[in-house]
Amino acid sequence: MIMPALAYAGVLVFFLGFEVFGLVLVLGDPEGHLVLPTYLYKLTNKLGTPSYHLMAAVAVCLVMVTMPLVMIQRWLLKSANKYVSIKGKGARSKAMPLGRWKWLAFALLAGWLIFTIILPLSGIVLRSFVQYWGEGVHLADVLTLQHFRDIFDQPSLVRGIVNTILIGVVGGALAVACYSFIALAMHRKQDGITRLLDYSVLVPRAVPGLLAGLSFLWVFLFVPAWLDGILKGMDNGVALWLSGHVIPVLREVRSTIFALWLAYSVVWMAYGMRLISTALLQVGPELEEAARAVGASRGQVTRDVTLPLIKYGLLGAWLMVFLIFEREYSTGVYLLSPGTEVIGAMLVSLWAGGSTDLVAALSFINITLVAIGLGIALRFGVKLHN
Amino acid sequence: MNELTVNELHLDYGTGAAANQILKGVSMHLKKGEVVALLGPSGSGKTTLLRAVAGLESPKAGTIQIGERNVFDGAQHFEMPAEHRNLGLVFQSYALWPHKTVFDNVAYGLKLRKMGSTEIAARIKEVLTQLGLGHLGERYPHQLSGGQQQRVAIARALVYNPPVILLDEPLSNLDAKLREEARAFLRELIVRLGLSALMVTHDQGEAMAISDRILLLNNGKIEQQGTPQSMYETPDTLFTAEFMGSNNRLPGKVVQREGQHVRLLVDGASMQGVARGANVGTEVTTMIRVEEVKISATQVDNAIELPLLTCMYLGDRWECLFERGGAENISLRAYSRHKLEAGKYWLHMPADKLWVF
Repeated sequence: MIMPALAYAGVLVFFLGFEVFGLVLVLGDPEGHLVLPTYLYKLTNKLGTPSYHLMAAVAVCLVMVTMPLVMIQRWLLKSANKYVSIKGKGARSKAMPLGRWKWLAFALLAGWLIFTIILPLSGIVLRSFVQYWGEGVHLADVLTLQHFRDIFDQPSLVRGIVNTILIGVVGGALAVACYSFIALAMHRKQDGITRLLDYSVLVPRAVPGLLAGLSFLWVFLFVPAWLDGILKGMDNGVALWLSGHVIPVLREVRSTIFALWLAYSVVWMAYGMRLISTALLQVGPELEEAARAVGASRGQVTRDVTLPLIKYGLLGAWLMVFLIFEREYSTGVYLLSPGTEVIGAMLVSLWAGGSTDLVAALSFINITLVAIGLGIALRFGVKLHN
Repeated sequence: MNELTVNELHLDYGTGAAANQILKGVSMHLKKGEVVALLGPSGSGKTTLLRAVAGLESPKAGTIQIGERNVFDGAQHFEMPAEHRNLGLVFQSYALWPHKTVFDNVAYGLKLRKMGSTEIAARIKEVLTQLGLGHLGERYPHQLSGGQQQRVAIARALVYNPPVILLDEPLSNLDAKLREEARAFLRELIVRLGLSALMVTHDQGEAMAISDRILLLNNGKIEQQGTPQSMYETPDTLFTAEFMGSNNRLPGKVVQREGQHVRLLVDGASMQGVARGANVGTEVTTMIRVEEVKISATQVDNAIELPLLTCMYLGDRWECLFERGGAENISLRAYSRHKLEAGKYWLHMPADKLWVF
């Protein structure tokens, strides 16, 4: 039943492996373990001159790897109809009783949670409230709120926090709306355009966020200039007006949070789309056909039947996209400029600058934001599993 | 006047060399107040034909008219979208919208037709009462039994008075006991409201009970059509004869033909039968309905003698199996009022019921 989700998760995790940047930067780098993204990042930093040509070459290679994987996934899911589970007959699914195995499963899960989530998180929280730590240091003596005061003294950091919230909540909602439009356009159609879209949404995901951010920087740098050139060449009133008014706006987009939102939305499109299309896949086709038979146009079917049925899927997608946007860092590194600071990207640059105190405090703030978002979403009836 | 006319409809799944022909030139019509059943084995194209009429499948060629309106014309590449055809459609799975109450499920078609809310409330009250669902308006589909869900699906299709109502295997999701009740209910409803209905089913009993006319589809073509009685009692083809009832096949050889009358040699005995269908050769299939075989303890004419193998109790009667193994294996089923003692019996087959195809 969950084959589509599993197949897609497999493909995504594989790409994440290419993409992981922060963990390796912090843990692997001091011991000389390099992966592609950190290698690229260091190339730029160490050579002094950004080696964009190398980065672009690597990106193309990664895109090449994407294609066969998407093909495998498509082949696995050829008959997507097999996985329809919301039918018009109004049946409910039940939890599987595990019996005595329940305790083993519980222990495994608890252990997993402690080692992967609780221990690291409590370390971060603790570090953000102490001046320093180490062997022989009595933690109660070094407790402080100074790191947080430092953060709120720096306008760029405060702006970063506000931007992060904005991009998570508003940007997340906008992104889900965009993804839904695309997913609905692809829904119930099996033609060449759908196939092309299916491949193309995964391509940005195959590129490390760092490179994706960089390519968006290029887009915002070069496209206005290029358009400007074309418009000037056309030499008529409208073109001149456009060149005089629209192009400067386009240029300014680069230093607004909109640029960042666009980059995030495109990079995470594959993931967000899949959340939505998995929900769509569970809506039985005859529910939509029934609406058309009683006289609803395609738009009315979508509004009155399809969207209400995937309501929880959409809320869940918003939550997931919110969580991702809150903690995304690599995409924003190259788009970081006054006005577009986000916590993730600031963490990377602060870490490079060696200010561990601020990194811990900012991380704590970020974790709190994510937790609040999760709490609100759960309050409003988002089901993490159904 | 015809409410629905289908003419030479062709439909393929897939295109080019991989095309899978589902409908190979089907023509039919449905008169006002008539109930027609589309009957056939799975894969015969009956559901596809229904969906093509509803506008959910795109045929390749042919025409479909609803009343005076052209809704599909292959020659002119005209296809009216499903939502403009104004038909009532009842799905096999009912396809009730789980997020809407019974009232809202039924009201949706009226809301789309821009009816005022007081009118809607009155109309829905009327329809739900007609279907015996008057008190269930506020429930959600998953709170209803299977039979109630089915009636909501019918109410949803009826509420805006479509000229034709299409039913896709309406009874197949109900359990056996409920199915008999629903069959009577559906027939009564159709007659009471004077509906014109096209119903898909794979169950010949259901088709005969509910419909005025049966269209038997076989492999994308209409094999035979007619009233339930004519389909059952005077089938034109072996396929129709086999599909419409429970039958015995006999190894028979033609000895002599005199018009419709055929003299046969069955298991060494000389028998009289009646020719059906177009076959006039000597390679024939001989068959008789199970209920036409008469069991006799003493010798009668037009009969063969076989030993009893076993009897099965069916409640109102026994079904007895007669069989003789060996080189020329022959077996026959027949109904009996009482349980039979072991032994040999004469199985009488009336000459006009022993069909030779």
